[in-house]
Amino acid sequence: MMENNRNNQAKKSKKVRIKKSAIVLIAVSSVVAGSLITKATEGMIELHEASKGAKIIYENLEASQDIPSGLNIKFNDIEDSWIVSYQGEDGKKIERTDVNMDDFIRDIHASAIENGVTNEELGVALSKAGLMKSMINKTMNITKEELREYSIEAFKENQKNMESVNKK
Amino acid sequence: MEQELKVIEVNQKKYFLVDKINQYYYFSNLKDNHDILILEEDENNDFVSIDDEKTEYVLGLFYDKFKNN
Repeated sequence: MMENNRNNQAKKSKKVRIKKSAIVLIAVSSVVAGSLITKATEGMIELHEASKGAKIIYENLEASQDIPSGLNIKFNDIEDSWIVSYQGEDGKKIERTDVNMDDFIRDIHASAIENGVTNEELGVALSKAGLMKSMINKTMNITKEELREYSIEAFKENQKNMESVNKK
Repeated sequence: MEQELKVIEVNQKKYFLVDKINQYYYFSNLKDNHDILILEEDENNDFVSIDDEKTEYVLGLFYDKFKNN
C-alpha cells in the first residue's frame, strides 16, 4: 500500500500529453454548465490561495529555523528511498539518502512543537518541501483538505496584514 | 438552453475546460474542483501539461482574472 502511494506520488508530476482530437463535446443545460464553471473557478482560486499561503508558512518556518533552510524532500522510486536535502550551517547543501522518514518527521516535529509551531503549520511546510500528503496524513494525522484550508487561512491573514500596512 | 462543455479524459477521470488565458487551457475535474489540469499547446498543436514550476504563475493569471473582477 505504502509502495503504491509512493509510486502514485512520483507519477503525479509526469507530463500529460493529449491529442486535441481527444476532446469531446458534452451538451448540458446552461444551469449545470454555469454551476460547474463557478465551482471550478472557486476551486482554482482556492488552489492558488493555498499555494501562496503554503509558501508563506514555509518561509516563516524557514526564517525562524523551525525547519532546515532550503529543505527539499523527494522519494527515489528506483532506490526505494528518500532523498532529503537542506542547507547546512556553513551554507553548503547537504543531501542525505539514509533518512528514515518516520524518525525525521518525529525529530523535526518535537523540536518545532517546543517552539510553538502548530501541527498544521509544520504539515504545510513539509508538504511544500515535497513530502507527500499521504505520508503527512499517516504520521501527523492531518488530511490534505486540512492542509489546504490552513494554507488558505494563512494566505488571507497575510493579505489582511498587507492591506493594513498599506493603509498606514 | 443547452451549452457544450469541452471534456477530456485523463487517467480515467474527466476534466472540462473552464477557461483559456493566453496559451493556457484550464481544465477542472468534473467531480472534484481541487483536481485541475493546466495544459498548453505544443509544436504539434496537441495539449501538454505545463511544467510544475510554472503552476504557481499560471494559476496566478487565473486568480488575477477572476478575483479582481
